Amino acid sequence: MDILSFTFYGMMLFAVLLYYSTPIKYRWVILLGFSVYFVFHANGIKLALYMAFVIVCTYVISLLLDKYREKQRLCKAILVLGIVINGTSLILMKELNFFLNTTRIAASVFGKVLPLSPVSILAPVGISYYTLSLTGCLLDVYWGSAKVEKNVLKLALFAGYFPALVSGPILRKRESFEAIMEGHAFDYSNFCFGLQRIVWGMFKKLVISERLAVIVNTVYGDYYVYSGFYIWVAAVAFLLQLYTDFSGCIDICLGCSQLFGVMLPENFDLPFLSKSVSEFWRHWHITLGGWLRDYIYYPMLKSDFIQNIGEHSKKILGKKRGKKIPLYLVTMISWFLIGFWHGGEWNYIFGVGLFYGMVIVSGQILEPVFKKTITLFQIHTDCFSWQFFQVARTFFILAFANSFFRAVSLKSAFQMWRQAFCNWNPWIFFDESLYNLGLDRREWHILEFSLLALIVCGLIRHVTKKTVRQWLLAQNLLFRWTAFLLLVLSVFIYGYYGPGFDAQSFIYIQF
Amino acid sequence: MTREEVFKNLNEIFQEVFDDEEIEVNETTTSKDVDNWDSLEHINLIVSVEKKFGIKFNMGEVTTMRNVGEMADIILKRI
Repeated sequence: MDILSFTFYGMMLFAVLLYYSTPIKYRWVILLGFSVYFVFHANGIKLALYMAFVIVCTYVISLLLDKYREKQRLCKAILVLGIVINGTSLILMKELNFFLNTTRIAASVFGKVLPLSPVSILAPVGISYYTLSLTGCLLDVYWGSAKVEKNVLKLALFAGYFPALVSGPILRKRESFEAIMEGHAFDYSNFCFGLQRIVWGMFKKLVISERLAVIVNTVYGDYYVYSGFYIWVAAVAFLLQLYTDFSGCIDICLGCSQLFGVMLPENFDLPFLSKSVSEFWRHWHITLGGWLRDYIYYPMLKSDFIQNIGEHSKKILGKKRGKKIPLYLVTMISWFLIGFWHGGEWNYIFGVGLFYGMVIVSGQILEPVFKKTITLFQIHTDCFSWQFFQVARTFFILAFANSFFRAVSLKSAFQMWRQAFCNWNPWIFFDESLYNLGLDRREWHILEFSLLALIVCGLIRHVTKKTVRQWLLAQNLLFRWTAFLLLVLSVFIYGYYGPGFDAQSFIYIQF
Repeated sequence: MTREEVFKNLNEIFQEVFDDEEIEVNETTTSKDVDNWDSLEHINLIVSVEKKFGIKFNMGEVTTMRNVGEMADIILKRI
């Protein structure tokens, strides 16, 4: 079910009415009912049952973990079983082609031809999100940092809560479970905030992202014709498209959840103001980063194996350098996993994974060199120009990396970047060449004004440290309503929707 | 072991892990108060504390403890 469709909003209206007309104690049952309907509608019965199987397995295993808590070895074995079941369910649906392709290529290196061709699998909606949430539940129970859930229906609702199923955020039991389960009384301002957030998400998706998609599709579709600076334009356009698409989707989902009074964790926090790649990833897809940090990165870093590597490297390289080796190793493994989670293709593994790992690790290794350079050239680091440089540098690194995300393969991404450097055509920014990328002058102006609105809202957030909705609430009634009506009208008038337009699917729905 | 003794030991561990003999931790000290207390040093710190006191933190505790006071609470429960 498309969250931009009338069917979805019809369902939302019905769900909200039923939710608030049910006694508070049983409101979670309404959410469960609509989540089940959403899952069956989006997945069909077979995939819905596949999801139900993983939920039931997680439920049984978490009960066993709780029961045999005192028997450490048994408990560990049960945990491993649970992780294997969850991991396999995800890998079978999402990453199988990676293993098939890698095996085929590895065999071909040794001169053997294996008849392994990629298979087309339709995975359940939200599999990458609910699998991580459920695996997190198991680990929390094992570590004793969350109570075991004894009601399988509540666990099912937690895993399949429909606003978070579309493209996250990835839910953590200790953060979101109670918020979903406890019934919320109707709160007018909360409800209005939810509606505003949905419209803001639609603005990002239908007005901005869809226009950027036209530019991106034109250049990526024919990068031998659109070479040189066109590639940079497309790379920047795709980064902005990805942000407005993904954060727009999250805005709609969080807004829908807020209509029920359920506040879900934020997934974005002004990522483009980051001064480094590692800072960016603390502000982009926050719940994925948090999940990996707590369930993969820290446990790996603390494991005896990695600690032993640290001890050996300290003996060889000295205390200061040696203790960094485990960090580099675990960082690269974590980034590989982030890329792998995005899809079993090397363009994801490189562009959204290993490339970032290499940038972060090389940044740490070269930190003393950077510090010496800054001292040597007497660069002031506490002034606007330096910070602007850092923000711009990070932005262009991200644009480069994410182009691999958009490319159809790793090979085509490298070919595209070769095209970027084999043609010098800076005049495209000054003549009217950019109007040949699928958007005419009027469309470009709409895009520019919309992006300006996005930047202004970001700056309000950055300066006031409040959400734009909170800032608006402090303004006069006339200003407030004018702003909201302008937003609604922009979506209605300039949004890409309805007959003749086919809004592209949200990018992160595929994960 | 008293709470004061735990903090005395913690001070020694912090000074060694962060290579800074002037570090003095208290109940409310957090990662923001100590230079270079990043994810790596956090784990190095945890491992050093485990060795010193002969205890084990579980990962839930590692990721949720908010200040040195909470760390001391866990240590006192385990020793």
